[in-house]
Amino acid sequence: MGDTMYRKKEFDKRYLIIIAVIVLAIVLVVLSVALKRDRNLSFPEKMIKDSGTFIINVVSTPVNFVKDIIREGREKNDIYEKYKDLKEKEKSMDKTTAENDNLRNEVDELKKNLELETILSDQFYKHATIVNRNIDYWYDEVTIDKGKKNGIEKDMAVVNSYGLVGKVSSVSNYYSTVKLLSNDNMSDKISVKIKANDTYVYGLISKYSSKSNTYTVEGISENIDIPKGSDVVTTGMGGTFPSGLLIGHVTKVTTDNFDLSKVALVKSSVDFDKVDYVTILKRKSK
Amino acid sequence: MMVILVLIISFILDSIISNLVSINGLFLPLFTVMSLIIVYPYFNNKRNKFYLSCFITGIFYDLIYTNTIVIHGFLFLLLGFIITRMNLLLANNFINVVIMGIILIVVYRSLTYGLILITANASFDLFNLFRSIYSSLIMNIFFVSIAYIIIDKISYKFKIHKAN
Repeated sequence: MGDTMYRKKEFDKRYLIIIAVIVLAIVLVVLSVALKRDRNLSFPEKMIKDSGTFIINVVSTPVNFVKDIIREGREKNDIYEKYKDLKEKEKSMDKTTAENDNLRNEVDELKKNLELETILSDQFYKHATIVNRNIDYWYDEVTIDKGKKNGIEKDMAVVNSYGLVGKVSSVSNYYSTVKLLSNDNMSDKISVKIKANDTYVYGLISKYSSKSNTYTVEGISENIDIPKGSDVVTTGMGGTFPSGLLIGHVTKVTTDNFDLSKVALVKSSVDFDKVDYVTILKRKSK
Repeated sequence: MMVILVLIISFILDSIISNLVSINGLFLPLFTVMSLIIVYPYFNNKRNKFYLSCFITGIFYDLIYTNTIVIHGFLFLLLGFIITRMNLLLANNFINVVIMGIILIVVYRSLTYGLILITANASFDLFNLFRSIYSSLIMNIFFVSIAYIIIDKISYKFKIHKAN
């Protein structure tokens, strides 16, 4: 009798452990699904997100208006410096425009000859305003006021006048979430090329430091000197970003731990604190 | 009514202030979380109603701000439970509200950090956790202090009863 009871107790204990493990596994699976941010939103989620963000957008309009006035005021302070700078640039503008037109014609000719419908740098544009920024802290995400109804799709590249800002991570009908490049955990490494004198060297962005606003570009295997200040742009490979989007400028070049490849520190051309308006690009080559 | 208004205003302020401060700076807003401390005494010990409000606020936080599913619903529910426990130990006055604010920021940031770590959604080190805590302290302690004084004055003026 006592032996049977002992066995029953032991059985119950084992049974409980199995149940606990199963429950823990289910909880982990549910958590990982619930925390996934770049998933497709369901219809009710889209509806609530759209209406909620719309109300917030309306309420914050006066604040944004005042913010814009203050910024304009600040910009007016150094208007003479900007005027001098633009005057300098104006001199080379005609030459650059002519060169640009010539190159565009050549590209069109080549596309015709090679029977290419699109190339890696072809893109559509859509402008948007940022509604809120990085409320959850961990993922460096912003919400923009354009969504599916405006032609925005997941994974589209997002830029501003200074360079690449990030990519669209989820879309509702009238608003979208953009994952910034300043995110410490960039899950997909971005393929970039660095202009070293007359040639390009290729590498991958591996991490970002918010302290210095710099990216680390690894895997540069070519044995070419990379001058300080060289432009770093996207290659267009990898499917998400069109080619030629400015990432930043090289500040320092070192070698990796095994002396096999070069590592470049790249100062971001975008100040992520001052991103208020963005442009969403869609690659034509998709 | 006042409770709902405080929650809605804090919720919207989270978005507005996030647009005005540096994205990786020292003034990150967590006003919705802070507002839970402010509104609790006005539920006059009706804890179930308070827990329900926490859960619903969390769900809206999930849907509108973070794109996650019910995570903040349950997180806010847990924070609500901590608030009720703290209110049993501490009297509801200015100093204690500030102390509760600090504790809640530490708990909230640690919980979200823990969740990300468990599910391996991303890799953050302990420094990231410390940074997330200290960069949230200044702005939110300021908010909870000001909000406590204002709501206290309004409730006194309109004779809205609150549990102490």
